[in-house]
Amino acid sequence: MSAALELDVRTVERFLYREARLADEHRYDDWESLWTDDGLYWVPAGADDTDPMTTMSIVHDNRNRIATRIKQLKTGRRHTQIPQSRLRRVVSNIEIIATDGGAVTAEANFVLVESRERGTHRSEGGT
Amino acid sequence: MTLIDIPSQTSRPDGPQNREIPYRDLVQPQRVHGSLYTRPDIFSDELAKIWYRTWVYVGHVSEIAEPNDYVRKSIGPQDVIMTRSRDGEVHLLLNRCAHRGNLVCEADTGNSSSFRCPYHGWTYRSSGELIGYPFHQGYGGRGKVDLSLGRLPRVGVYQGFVFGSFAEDGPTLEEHLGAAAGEIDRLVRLSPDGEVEITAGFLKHRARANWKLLAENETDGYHPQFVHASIFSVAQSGIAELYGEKSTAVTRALGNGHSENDLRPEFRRLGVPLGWFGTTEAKVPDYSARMRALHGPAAEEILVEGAPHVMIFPNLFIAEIQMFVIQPLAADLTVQHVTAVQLKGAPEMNRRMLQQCVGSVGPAGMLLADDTEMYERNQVGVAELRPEWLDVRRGAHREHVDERGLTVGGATDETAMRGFWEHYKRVMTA
Repeated sequence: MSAALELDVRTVERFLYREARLADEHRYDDWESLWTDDGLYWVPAGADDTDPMTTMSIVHDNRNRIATRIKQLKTGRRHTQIPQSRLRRVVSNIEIIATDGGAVTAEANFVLVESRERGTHRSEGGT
Repeated sequence: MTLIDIPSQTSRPDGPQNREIPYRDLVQPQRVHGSLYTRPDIFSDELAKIWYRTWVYVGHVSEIAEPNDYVRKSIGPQDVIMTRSRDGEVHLLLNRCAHRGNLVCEADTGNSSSFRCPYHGWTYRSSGELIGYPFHQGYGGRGKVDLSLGRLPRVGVYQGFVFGSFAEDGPTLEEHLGAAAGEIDRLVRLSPDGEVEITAGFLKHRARANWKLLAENETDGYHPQFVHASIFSVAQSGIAELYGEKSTAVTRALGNGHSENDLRPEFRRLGVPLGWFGTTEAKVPDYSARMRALHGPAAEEILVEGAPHVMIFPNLFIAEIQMFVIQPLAADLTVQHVTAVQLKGAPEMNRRMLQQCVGSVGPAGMLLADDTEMYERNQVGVAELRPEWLDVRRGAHREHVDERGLTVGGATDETAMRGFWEHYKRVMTA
């Protein structure tokens, strides 16, 4: 493995850890600043090969909707987050799948544990 | 506060030793008892008298468009396979092999002329008849076993919406739908091809709450400004005003437990075609042109008045552009299946309807996540012992009966809930 690629994996890893930590700690302004204008936050429902333009998703937020979601949280009246969930994401299996000029395509797995007033949930996924 | 003789809210086994449940005492014109939401024996009784007897929404014909298509659905805890047999007929089969009760269908959806039980290989037609079983000499030969998949004896289709009933006879689907049928018509009319398509797939959203809390909330015009205050304050959708004190919208009990928030008075006041959907004709020019060509001068009214907001007892809720199906699993556990309505022949609208729906519903939904939060808190609350009752009197003093004989209340009044409970009492004491 070349030194340059190793550095890239580390950079990606640092970015993903930071993103996870900001989300875990409800630091939404900092978290939102990680997004570019063409960012898309997509959480598919069920099968991996779904088309989000014709099939239901759990989340399918363009940049504008990401901003709206955060504004909603910050009103202090988003009942699902009163009190805020306690969150921990564990990110692993980080791999660079493709590099194309300055663009890097990376994949990772995560486990998210959410502790709430009426129960604890665990979500898993690839990102 | 009068205490009436009601068995404890804690779990008790079902059985002949159980006392008769006093629904006439528990359901009163302006209040209902908290135990209705918590008692497991009442939940079992509801399965028997509502879910396994009256008409229940199951699925839509567009989900099984081709011969031999099938899709797995549910009626409460029952696992139902909705199929279209080779001859085009729609069947509702129970997912249970007649041999030893194994599941015969594991896939959520597919196309197959038969279901083969993986346990011992018994095979059924998509209409439910037993085709064959391996090693047939053990039964004295082929065709000796007179068994088939269980099936719902009555299947009714209205405008493509498929309903099933476990009862051999009873009111027809049209009798059951009554005035609610017109609301389905209003939805279907928004398609230039006159058909709704349910093809976007479903999110399943669990609520640790009794199904009636969901059913009552669907047409409760009082809660939106409070439960949904967070999204109303950051997204200028105009929805908040529909459910305000000054709103000219009405709540209507449609009979048989069905109800609607009739928002048309507000949309008419706005007077903008597609204003109900927060868009304009200029943004969906092909759709607009097709609707105007099809309906002529009547198109204006159709496009201004928009889609219905109707709860069809006990489990189908159409909220303009999205459709919910309520699946009760226990006294304190319900799954809400939700999808975007798609209008055949209207791709411009469908894309927008889907994206708006995804933003609103499901466990991350900017609207529905907060409703579910309320359902779950409410379920904890109704188990507290005092003051025993839930109050449903709001607006009772200002109701009127319209020209169709239906009871109409204000936009934020509990007219729909009272209609729900009146019907509930009737079917539970039948």
